Amino acid sequence: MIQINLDVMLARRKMSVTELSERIGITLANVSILKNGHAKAVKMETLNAICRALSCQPGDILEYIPDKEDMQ
Amino acid sequence: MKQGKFSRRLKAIIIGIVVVCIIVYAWVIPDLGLGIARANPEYAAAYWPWVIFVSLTAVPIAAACVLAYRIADDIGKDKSFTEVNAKRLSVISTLAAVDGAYFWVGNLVMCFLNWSHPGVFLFCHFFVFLAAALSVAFAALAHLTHKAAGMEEEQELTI
Repeated sequence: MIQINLDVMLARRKMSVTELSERIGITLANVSILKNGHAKAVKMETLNAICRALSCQPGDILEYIPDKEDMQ
Repeated sequence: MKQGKFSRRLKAIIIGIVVVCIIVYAWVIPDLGLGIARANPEYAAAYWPWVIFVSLTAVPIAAACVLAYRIADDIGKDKSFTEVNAKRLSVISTLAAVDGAYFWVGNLVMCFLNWSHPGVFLFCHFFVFLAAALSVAFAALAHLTHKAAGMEEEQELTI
């Protein structure tokens, strides 16, 4: 599974979810969906905007964690 | 056509169908049966069994109308493509199939009991095929709505 580490990056940059949503032009509700890992897909455009706002790489936000199925 | 207007139009059509059904089931069918019973005294004993048998076909129609009205209501609220509506359409499809099967079996039983004419049994196939066609159409709509609901959910959760 892909884990979203947006909250970790927000804490590192000392930025609030509201500020991020304003910077990337996405509603607070949608940023929350993304932060809580409920999103089914992320647009390249959104990823680009987040990386620009947080000055980070996509790998800092997205992390692959093997599932139980992958372990087997 | 805007969704609100379309929803209102659908509701009006459904209410129209309900009114026509009430007229047909409460007045036309009993009156027609009475005419047949008077013209053919040998079938007079079959009047009430026929009225009860045909009246029971209205139950799935009434249930389908309620479900269709709820779908129309959801369309007005911009909630057209949902799993709930897909399930409702699937239930309508099943109701149409059950009603058609019940009508066919009932007509066959009436024939065996000598309460009907073979010509009536042959004529009933028109309604059975109509029910089968509606069942297939609603099953296809249910499948499409189910697929569309999945796509809409995916689109909503694409950030």
